[in-house]
Amino acid sequence: MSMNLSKTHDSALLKFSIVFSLISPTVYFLADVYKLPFLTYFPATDEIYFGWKAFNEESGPAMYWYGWLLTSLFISAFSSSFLIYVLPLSTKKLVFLSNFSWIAIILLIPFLIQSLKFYWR
Amino acid sequence: MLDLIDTNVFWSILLIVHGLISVALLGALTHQTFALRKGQSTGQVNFYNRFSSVNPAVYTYAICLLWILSFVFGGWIYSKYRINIRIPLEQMGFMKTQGFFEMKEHLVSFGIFLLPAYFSIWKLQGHDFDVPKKYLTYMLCFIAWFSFLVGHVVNNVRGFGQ
Repeated sequence: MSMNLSKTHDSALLKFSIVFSLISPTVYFLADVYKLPFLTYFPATDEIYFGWKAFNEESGPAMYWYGWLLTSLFISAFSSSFLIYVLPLSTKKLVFLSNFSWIAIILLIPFLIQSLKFYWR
Repeated sequence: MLDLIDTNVFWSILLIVHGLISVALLGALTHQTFALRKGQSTGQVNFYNRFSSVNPAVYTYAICLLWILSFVFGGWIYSKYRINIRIPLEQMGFMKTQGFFEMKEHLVSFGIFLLPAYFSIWKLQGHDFDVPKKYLTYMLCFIAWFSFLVGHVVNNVRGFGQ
């Protein structure tokens, strides 16, 4: 039974969620590799800075994970909204794209392992 | 709250809650994954067939909610982990353990990014999205198991109470 997306109430949400799930892991990975966290958190002193800030003696170790998540959330939400607005996405194309959401993660895993080479000594 | 109980006890309680939510998530995701594979079973009455004889769609809301809750608790604990666990782990030379924890950090983030698509696709009627539905579920199940096992090992190496 094939469905007509235009008849479903949640077609915009479906399109957004599929495009978002496709883009966000890649943006997250790039934010990690290219040091693009939205913010840096220093848990020892509870300090928060916008953007990337290096570890320093006064503030202690830095955490970028929250920042990578926010970078990914903002960029992916904005770009997904834009893309579903400008691109005509049929059911066939959505099915095709939705396969790439999990394939993208499989493709990113070797790069993640490589980016963590510091720990595999 | 921190005035009433010891700091380590407080963080250990949070960690246990995080772990219990993760166990519930593992159960739900594993049931759903096995139910999706049911078509390949032989039809005999055995543990595997009974385990997979569930309606997989009913787990979707619970899986999303549990993933988000586990993610929030994990993210909360993570700030304390960075100071109290990670630094001693590195000083003790457990670099691979730390590396696997970093992998877990990245994979659970990927998992939460997949949730909107997972949820939307599971809500749909019809069979157009059967393939992505199946593989998204497998992917979330793999991430949940990997993360649970890594978290468990890291806690064994050094928990908040140590």
